[in-house]
Amino acid sequence: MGAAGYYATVLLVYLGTDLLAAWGMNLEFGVAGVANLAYIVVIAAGAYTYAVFALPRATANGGFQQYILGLHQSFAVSVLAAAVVGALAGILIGLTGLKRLRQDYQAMVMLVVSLIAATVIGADTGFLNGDIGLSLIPNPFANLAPTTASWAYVALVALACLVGLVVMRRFTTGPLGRTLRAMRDDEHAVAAAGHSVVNLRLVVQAVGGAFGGVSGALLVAFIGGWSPGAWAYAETLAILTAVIVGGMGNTAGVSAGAFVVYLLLLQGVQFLPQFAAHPGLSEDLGWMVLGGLTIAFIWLRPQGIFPERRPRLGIARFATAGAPPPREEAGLGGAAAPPGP
Amino acid sequence: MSTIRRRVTLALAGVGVVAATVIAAGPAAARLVPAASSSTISVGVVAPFTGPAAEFGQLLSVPCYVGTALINRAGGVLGSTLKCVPVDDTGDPADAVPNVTKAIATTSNFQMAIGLETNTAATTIPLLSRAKIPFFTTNGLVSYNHTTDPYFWRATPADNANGAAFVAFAAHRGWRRIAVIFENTASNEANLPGVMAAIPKENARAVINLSIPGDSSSYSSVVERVLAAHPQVLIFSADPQTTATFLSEYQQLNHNSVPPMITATESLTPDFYDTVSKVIGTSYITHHLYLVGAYFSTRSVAYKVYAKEAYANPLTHKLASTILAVGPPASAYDGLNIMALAMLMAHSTKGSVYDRYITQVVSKKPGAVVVQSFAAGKRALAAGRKIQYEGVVGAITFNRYHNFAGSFAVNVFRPSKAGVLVYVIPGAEVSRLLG
Amino acid sequence: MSLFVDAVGFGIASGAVIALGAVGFTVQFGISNVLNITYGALMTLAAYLGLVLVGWHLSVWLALVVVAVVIGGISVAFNRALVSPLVQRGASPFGLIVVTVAAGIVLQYVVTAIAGPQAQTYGEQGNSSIGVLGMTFSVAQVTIIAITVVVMLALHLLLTRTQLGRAMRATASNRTLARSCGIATDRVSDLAWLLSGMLCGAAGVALAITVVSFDFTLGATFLIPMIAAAVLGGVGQPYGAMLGGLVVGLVTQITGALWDPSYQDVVALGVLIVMLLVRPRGLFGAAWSARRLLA
Repeated sequence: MGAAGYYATVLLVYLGTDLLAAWGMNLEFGVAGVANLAYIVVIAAGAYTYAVFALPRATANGGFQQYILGLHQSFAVSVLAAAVVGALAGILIGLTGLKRLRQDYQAMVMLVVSLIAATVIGADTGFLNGDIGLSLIPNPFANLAPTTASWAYVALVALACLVGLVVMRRFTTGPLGRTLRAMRDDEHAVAAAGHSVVNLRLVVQAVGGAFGGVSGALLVAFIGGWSPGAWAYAETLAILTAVIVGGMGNTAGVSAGAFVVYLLLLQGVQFLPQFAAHPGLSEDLGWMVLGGLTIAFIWLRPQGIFPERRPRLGIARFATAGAPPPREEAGLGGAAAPPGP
Repeated sequence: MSTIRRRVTLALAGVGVVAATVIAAGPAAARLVPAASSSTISVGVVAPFTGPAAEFGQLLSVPCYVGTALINRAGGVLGSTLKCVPVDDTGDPADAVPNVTKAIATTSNFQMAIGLETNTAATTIPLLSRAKIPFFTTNGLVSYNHTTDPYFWRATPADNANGAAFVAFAAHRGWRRIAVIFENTASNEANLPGVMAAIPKENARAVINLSIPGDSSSYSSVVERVLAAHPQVLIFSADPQTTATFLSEYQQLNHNSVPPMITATESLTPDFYDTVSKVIGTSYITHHLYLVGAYFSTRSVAYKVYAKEAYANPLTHKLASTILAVGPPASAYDGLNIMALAMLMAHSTKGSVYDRYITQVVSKKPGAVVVQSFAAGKRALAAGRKIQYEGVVGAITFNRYHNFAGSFAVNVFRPSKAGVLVYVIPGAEVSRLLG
Repeated sequence: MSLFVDAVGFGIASGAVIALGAVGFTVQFGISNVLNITYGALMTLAAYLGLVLVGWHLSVWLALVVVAVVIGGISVAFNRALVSPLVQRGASPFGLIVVTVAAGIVLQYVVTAIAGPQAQTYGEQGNSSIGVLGMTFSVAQVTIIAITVVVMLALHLLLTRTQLGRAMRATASNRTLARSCGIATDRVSDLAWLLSGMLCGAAGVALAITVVSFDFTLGATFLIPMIAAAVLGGVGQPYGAMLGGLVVGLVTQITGALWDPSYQDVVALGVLIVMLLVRPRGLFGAAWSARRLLA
């Protein structure tokens, strides 16, 4: 049946793009240790890049929307451009991470970057059509029959996820993965072993950013529209919750986290009964539960449902109860087993 | 310590409940068995019910509740009754897609929709068209002025026409030095191109043109700049909150004198009246504040039917006074009646079938009875007569792009907080300014 | 030129409200070492509590005081129930900031679910204007400026002239050392959260008065300029935050006056980022708590 089938494809496409986003954030945060609370901006940058590469010139559709570029490029070129811009954004964010700011300061800078970006894009109507945003963003399968097109798109997103998974593995396992984890936990040791911490970190940031860029591009090509309303800073919290709930640093865990947060929780509340007197209540509830979930996990199980596997005796990542965490702590803290009252 | 534990447990229990509900609802939804009997037709109100624009959802539900109540009281459509289903587009074009798709997939007999406002129209309209569900949109996007989407219907003017109407009224009053101040949000910004296109055609001048952020702590500096430009009139479009802050500071900085302001009818509400009159007094608000929007007569039978039910219905009476003077919700109510009458004419409640009858419901034709409510239309059709529906927004003629933009009304507040019509701007005049 | 002078006046007026909130934010951070993003949602809650009181025909200024006390209590409870236990479990600064962001979102949605999304107002409050040195203020603005100045003076006396104030400063600069000197750091911490909560409550109501019309996004909108002010003055320093508030207010209004009002908030935020990246100790260096700014 058309409608249910289409709903399934929509959910799959969203799940795929959310997975890419969660993986990218996990690379930056779980692997490189950069607390990027502006990750949604990277995704937005990818989406806008795809849009202005794929769209024809702004004058083409009667000039009802204004934007830069309008290069009318193919899907592949536009997605690639989005990946590059995402990577650049990741590097830029990584550079701020190099300043030896305390982690919560870094997080705050990112939060503010998120707000500024939305304000600037919203204020400048000639750049990316302001607050109204862009529409008629081309879908690569627009010429196919609707059902075929949506399933073809699911396949495309699945392919992207597969590629993403291969890349993720390279960064989380094997010698590179071990080096990166060691860097997150104790960068001096890694530097002493002859690695350039700065380069390593920037590479991970670039790859994490590219994930975000591609995630945004794939989403926007599917839904056809994009505006500042789509990337409010709270969206980053949803991705972060996926990473925290699933288990930072663990690809399978983070994937499970994305599934729980996006499908079970944020889509799940759509199935709650509606009250005529208060029609938005169930969605409000979704966000309340999301916030509660984040707090509960940081409190009770900061390592997530599926903790990162530690192949060898790692350097202690979580501080013990009572003592302050090490200075470059990347984790969320909290002893795994809470002491009795 | 134990209270804290309990709190966390409670939070986790909440998660459990949601998860359980999802699991319970999941298979039922996937089976797609209509939950209610198939004699209920669902009317989607696609609008934000959460997020920063959540107020829209509540306001747009009013025409739906009013329309469905009246249609059901008249015996429903082909043996079916109508039911409103809120579909939360959250105001976020990305989040809207799964929510609207979900509603389409799981709502039994989803055959008509209203809403689809500016923030999310670009991503939600294709979803309804794809599902062959006819809809009356209240979005103001200029991009739909020439749409070829067969399921798209709009009986409210596009934003650029609104903007041009502001200028037409300023010119009518002889105000040529115009200050143009718009909040930089989607719904307000969209009016700007129309304003700027119309100003030179009326030999007027934009002495200052500023775009301001919403909900700022102070607009004093903006006010000072506007004062320095010595405008005769302010063309202003922002949310009521920003408007109140702005007017308050203007009055304070200009020794209690504020030039006339032209703004959109969306502000023609008792809440706005209360806020602004508390802020700068009733004299200004009843004499110098002009609210421009789609014209409709409050004397027509159609309006009386609409207003009476809006005040009587327990679901809508609280918001009735807020929306009764505003064009877009009225056009949604008319849309509902038109779609229901088209179903009767088509002898089908299927979107893909009745959609083709929509133009015939409203078109002028010899021998047709003019009807101003669904009930009257149903009676006339049952008697074998041809009908021409005239709604709250007046006689409707769709152009070939399924758009209808009538004349514009200029209202001012009365001390009773209701609006009174002071001037009508013909649709042709607005088209000329945009041409 | 007169436009500039006017903008300075407006900057002082809007800076006073920002300073009120920023000082609370900074005092609490200085002592507990937690960047509390929930502060924004608490200001929103304060504005709505004020609305309830104004609905009971309380004067707004009395409402401001009552709300300040209530939010002060909530703030202490928030610390005891959530923040302090997490700190004891050794949660990292990033974990804590995420917790406070999440708690803020939960609180904001609870307020929305109860109060609804529509805009609210206390009504007009002392709108007649007063001229000072060519600048124009409303009575309400002057009252808020006065409140801010009085609060700052009281805070100054508390910190410098009382035993308690010395204990607070000691706790802020080195908690462990303070504890071993016999200072009841937990009580001092409670007091810091109480004070900060009271300032937060007062700022929430003051904001609602200043902007005339507000909705549930009030706190989220104004938290950022307040953080900017706090950072500008060097986080943890009340005087710095005060000056920071003034600077942020001036920057916003002067941008609005001389450039594009659309960017007035962007410029304030830009100041914050530049400060954080270039000079995280704040404009004035810092004796009080410089060490906590860098890892």
